Amino acid sequence: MGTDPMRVYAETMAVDGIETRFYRAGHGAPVVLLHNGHSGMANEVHSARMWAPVFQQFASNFHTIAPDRLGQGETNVPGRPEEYGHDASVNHVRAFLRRLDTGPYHLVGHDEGAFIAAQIAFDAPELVASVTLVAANSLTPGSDRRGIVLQNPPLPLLSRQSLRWTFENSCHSHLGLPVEWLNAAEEIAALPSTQTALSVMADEDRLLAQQTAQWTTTRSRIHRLIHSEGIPCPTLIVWGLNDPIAPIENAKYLMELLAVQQRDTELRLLNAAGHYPHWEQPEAFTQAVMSFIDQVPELAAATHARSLPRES
Amino acid sequence: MQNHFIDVDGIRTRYLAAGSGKCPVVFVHGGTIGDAGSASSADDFLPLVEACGATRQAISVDRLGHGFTDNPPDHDLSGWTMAGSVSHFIRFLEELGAGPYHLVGQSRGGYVVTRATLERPDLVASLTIGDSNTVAPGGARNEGIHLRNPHPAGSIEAMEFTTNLYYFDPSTLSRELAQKKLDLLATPKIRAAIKRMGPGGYRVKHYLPGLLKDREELFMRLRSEPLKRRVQIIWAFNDPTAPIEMGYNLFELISLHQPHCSMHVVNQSGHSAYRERFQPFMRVLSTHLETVDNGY
Repeated sequence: MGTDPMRVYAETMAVDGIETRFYRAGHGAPVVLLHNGHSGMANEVHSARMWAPVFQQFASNFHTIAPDRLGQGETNVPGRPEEYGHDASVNHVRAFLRRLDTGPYHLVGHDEGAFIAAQIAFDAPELVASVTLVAANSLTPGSDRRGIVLQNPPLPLLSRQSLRWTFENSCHSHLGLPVEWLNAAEEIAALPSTQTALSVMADEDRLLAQQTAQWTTTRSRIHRLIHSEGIPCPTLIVWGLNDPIAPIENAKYLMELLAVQQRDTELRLLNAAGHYPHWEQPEAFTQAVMSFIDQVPELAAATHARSLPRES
Repeated sequence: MQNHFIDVDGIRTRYLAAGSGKCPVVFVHGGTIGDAGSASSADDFLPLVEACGATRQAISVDRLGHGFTDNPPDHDLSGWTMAGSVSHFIRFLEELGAGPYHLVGQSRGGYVVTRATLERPDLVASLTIGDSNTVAPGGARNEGIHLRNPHPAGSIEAMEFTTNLYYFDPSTLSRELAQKKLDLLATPKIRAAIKRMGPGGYRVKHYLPGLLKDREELFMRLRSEPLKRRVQIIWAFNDPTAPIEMGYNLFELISLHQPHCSMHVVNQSGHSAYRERFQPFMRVLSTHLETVDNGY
């Protein structure tokens, strides 16, 4: 698989019968990087290898783990069509984290991966020390420009030309797309598991019921929890000012939602970055996220101390 | 913490300094010269100077006519404006002779350091702006708060009124620092400045009109030319006087021409994020300074 710098860290583990690809390196507090997208998307593929521009930097400071999510990248697809969808993908990540058994984890999620990080923080708080939500449009009740910006890609879909167009148009600059990822994406698009997922989710009723409906239902539930309880751990939102898909207004909106109940909510905005700030501003991205993770125990302890009854 | 004095074109200028080595960081406080309801000074940053002093030289300076720095001469009209405050600060950096510096400005001090970076990039290694409605496009809320203050100038009640409207958690302002500010307000020098700037004085005649014009000119320049150093903006989400929208406006304005511009928002803090949320403020600041020191 070419010169992919993450290749040497590749491991495989069975998670509830699903052969799961993940990359692991480094020592220290456990950090889990969750990529975006979902299984069976018609025009894009995704995998942990999208973190390549920042993976080694994280690994030099933390025990860093980056899985391919269910039916994405080189993680296998479920056995039956009914086992696809949002719920299955979340369950797979959660089972993976339990199986690794090195939590609580600092979850760093990108878009759909950020949604899953927030959901697991609510549903399995014992697994999560902090969440970092990167370009977390799927979690934000704002507009999504994907349908405008990424409409009418060059055909055939998932060809190198089409993938290049899609990822370039998700960036601030077309130079933001790492060629290593384009190579990887082309390989992943050709995998039999990707083709299987594509044919399963090509059934529009199934896509609507198992992906879209499960996601929006869960999102309503998560938003109610955000209002009533707040995310139960320190939270960093990271967003690119020039995100063509997830407008910067959505970052401000998400900050407004989360800040009310969680004292340790922070927002980091990066200039000259689009939907993949970890590609276009890898240095600023890693500095902001890693220093946050380093401080999480201190922040959580200070906030906990404030919540105790003060001595009179 | 050691008090130092340096002569800057006949103005005896006070600064605090700690630590040594690396590129020095200079903190610049907010406030308006001759302000009767608050007394911003170099002391505001004591915890930051101490923390930064562990790894580098850290300096906090009293701006012209603030704290223990001399007032400008009566006849020097420009000395009683923000333009005068900027000139004095630039000359202070030159006299100190330890540049280039990491500049950190809070509130009105954010305007001073931004202007200094625009006019004299040779003196500057990096720029950090904290909660500054002076340098950000949009509508500031501080003047309204001062106008509504019903208490006598320089009284503890007046200061408590302001504190309650500037902070997310007013208990963060320690009794000790409040007393220090009251003592400062009572000094003959500050009394003279209050008199000069007070009703019918230089504040309405020179200071505010001058600032209005300089601010518009600054925005025009930032729309067409870059700040030539890395910029870190740090803003409090709940700032009642410099609303977060102004921070976003500033970030977008500077980002037009400076790709290395980043904004960090901290939660549950009023105007003084460096005091109310010291931990994340210090973390973001030191990460920014180290990144620049390391050549990024």
